[in-house]
Amino acid sequence: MSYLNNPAVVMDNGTGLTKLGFAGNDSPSWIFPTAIATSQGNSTASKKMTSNSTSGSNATGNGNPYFGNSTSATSFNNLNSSMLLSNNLAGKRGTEDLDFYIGNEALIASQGPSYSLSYPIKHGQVENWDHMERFWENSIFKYLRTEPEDHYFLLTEPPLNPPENREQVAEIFFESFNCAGLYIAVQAVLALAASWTSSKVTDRSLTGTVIDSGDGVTHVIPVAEGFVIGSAIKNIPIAGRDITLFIQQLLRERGEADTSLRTAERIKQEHCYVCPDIVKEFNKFDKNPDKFAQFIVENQEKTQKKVVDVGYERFLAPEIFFNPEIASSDFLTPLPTTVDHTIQACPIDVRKALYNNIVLSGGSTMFKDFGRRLQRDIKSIVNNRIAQSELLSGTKSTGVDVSVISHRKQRNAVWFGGSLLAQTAEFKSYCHTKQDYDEYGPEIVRNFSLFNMV
Amino acid sequence: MLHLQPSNLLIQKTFSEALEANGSGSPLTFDRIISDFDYTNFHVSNDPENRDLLLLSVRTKAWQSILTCDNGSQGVLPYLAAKYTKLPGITVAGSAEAGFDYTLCIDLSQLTSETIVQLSLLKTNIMSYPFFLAFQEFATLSTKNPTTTTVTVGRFNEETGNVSSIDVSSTLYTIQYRDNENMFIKPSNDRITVIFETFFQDETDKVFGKVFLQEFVDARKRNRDIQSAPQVIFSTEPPLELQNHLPKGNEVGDEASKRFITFVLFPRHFANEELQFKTVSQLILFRNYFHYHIKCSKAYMHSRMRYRVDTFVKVLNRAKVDEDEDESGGSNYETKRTITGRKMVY
Repeated sequence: MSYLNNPAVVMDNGTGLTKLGFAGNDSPSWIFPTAIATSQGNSTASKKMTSNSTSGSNATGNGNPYFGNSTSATSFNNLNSSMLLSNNLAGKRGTEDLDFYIGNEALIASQGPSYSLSYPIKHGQVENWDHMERFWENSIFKYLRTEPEDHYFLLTEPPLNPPENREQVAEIFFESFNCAGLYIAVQAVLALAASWTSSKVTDRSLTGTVIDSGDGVTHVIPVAEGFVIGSAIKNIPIAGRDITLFIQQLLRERGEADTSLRTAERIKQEHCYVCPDIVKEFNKFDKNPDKFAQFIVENQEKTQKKVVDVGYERFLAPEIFFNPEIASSDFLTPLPTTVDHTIQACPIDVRKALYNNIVLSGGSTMFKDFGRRLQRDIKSIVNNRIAQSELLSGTKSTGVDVSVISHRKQRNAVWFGGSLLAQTAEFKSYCHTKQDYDEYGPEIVRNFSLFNMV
Repeated sequence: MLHLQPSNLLIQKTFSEALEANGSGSPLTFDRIISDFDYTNFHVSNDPENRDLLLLSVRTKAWQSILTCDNGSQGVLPYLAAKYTKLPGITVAGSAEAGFDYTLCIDLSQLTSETIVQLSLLKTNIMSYPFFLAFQEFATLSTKNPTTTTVTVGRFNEETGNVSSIDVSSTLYTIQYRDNENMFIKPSNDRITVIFETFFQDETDKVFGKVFLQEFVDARKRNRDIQSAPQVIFSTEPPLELQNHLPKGNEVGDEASKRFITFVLFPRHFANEELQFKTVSQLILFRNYFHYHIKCSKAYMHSRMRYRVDTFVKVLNRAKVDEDEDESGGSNYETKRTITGRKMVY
């Protein structure tokens, strides 16, 4: 069944956002919240409300009910499906299990009275398999429009995902969807692969330290030759949302005209950068008022304008990675120190390689000069240690190279790494196929051979 | 989501993005793959010479059979050109992009949201060409031989058989849209018959598929509200319409496990353009719809199974015996406990 080389499907289901797309593309085709809105109850009363809420969501689409984005439920109401399915078996239950929305449509639908919103992935791991299965079903058939039997799939999982979860995923993909082949990759490894696009990377190795900072939490994950060193992984409870909240707090203290979370987030994305030295940066701002920026908030009808001044938060906000004490009172270890601790917890023979290849991934690492500052701080920690050990032992060290790699695909690095690997000719040979699954059962997915590309 | 939509959401999204970016003065660079059901791939890219032009190329498994379905006159090309060139900003590329079957050039400065919708229907439009031919042929046949006798529904009987007996072989349109499955369209003077071959790779699917197919057939019989829907016939043997066209001696292997679903379309199903479009787009998506629902019902089964297992586990947990009781009686030495009540383990 391979008339054409169908592109592999790359799915990165994160706690907050799901990235879907085809291998070979440079960006995900769809990015939407990993959210599902399911209908509550199955009484006729709730059915009536369904029709109300869907007509509302249609209005937000492009008007034409046949082609609009949120048309999936209209057919429920027009056809009155429970009447159609008059068979004894089917008649007892309606098609409530098909009455749900995912992604952005779920957020809209959940504003109505008859849908409840839930996030099936918590802390990177799937919590509700029923919802997840339906989420996948809809994302494959509605958003990607693929017949899973014709495509290979690359899915991602967080580090330290229990093998039982992998088996569950395999059961769903092979038994429900009959997908042609499946590969489950660890997110950190894919982020490493994505860094190969950077001009700084000369050897395509899968050894390095991944700093993955999303919305909720920041992970530091050491990877040696494609294997995650699980015992050394460290988490930092500072990530994108904390930076946004910090900016919002500064805006409120100054009494700006608009202090909504949305404004704070926009300011974070458009104006913030990392400075080499706070004190000098304060002086620079005081001497040179051009540094202060202005951010203009327009309301939806573009009739009113509010002007928000952007001041020190331009460099102070990302600074909480490096000096957490300015924003939080319970977590005080700076990011460079955590990275150093992580690498020190790894076996001694890979430490040099880990220092040499520190890779950034996730939206909260996108600040200008973030990588440069991180590199400088880690380098000074390492150099201090080397100097001390030279002093104590009296021998000469060969030195440790620290290099932090930033690249342009950082925001969706995990997805992009997946896309890179899945478009290679060898990808299909690394996958487990449906035939393998039928032969050996779900435990086959406990092991995947690694991409060793040189 | 009960029905699949005929339009491709991702094409809509991509072109809407392109239009928006172009409007705000920062045009995007595109080199994207978009897929659709049944081995269909789209490729959106910038024209190498003119940055304002986008190319939308399509490659589909069905193309070859559609190109030759009208005795090799390649009528699908002018058919598609007529559909698309009337829209503002779209021209048909002189030659298709390498590796693809058909290419459209889209001028971003003239693109409208209505055009985007039409672009997203490209696959449906390509697949609808044989149906279009069938509708035409139906029109000529029905004016030549208006039906006088009432025809028993389903099989071709002798009256209708001799109507088109002159060109029986040429009136069967075949769309080879998958490797093992074809779609056949046969017009006659009072109806159009559409036949699908189905084939399942998976044993479980076969069972689910059978229930679904039976339901397609029976739903109309039971429910009076949908009497105007096309009649559906399900058979394990190739229908009579196909018997001269399928290769002989195919009772082995894959061929033997094929099933046939026949839709009988009457003039009321394709009386005007709107109905034609609706009928065709639903028929084209029939296989995908069918397989989508098999998968959905498996997902539903899984959720019931998980629920059941959870309740069983609850029952088992309730039956657990407290370990302390039997140990205190059986063992010689008394168990030592810490001050907080935990047992000491040796």
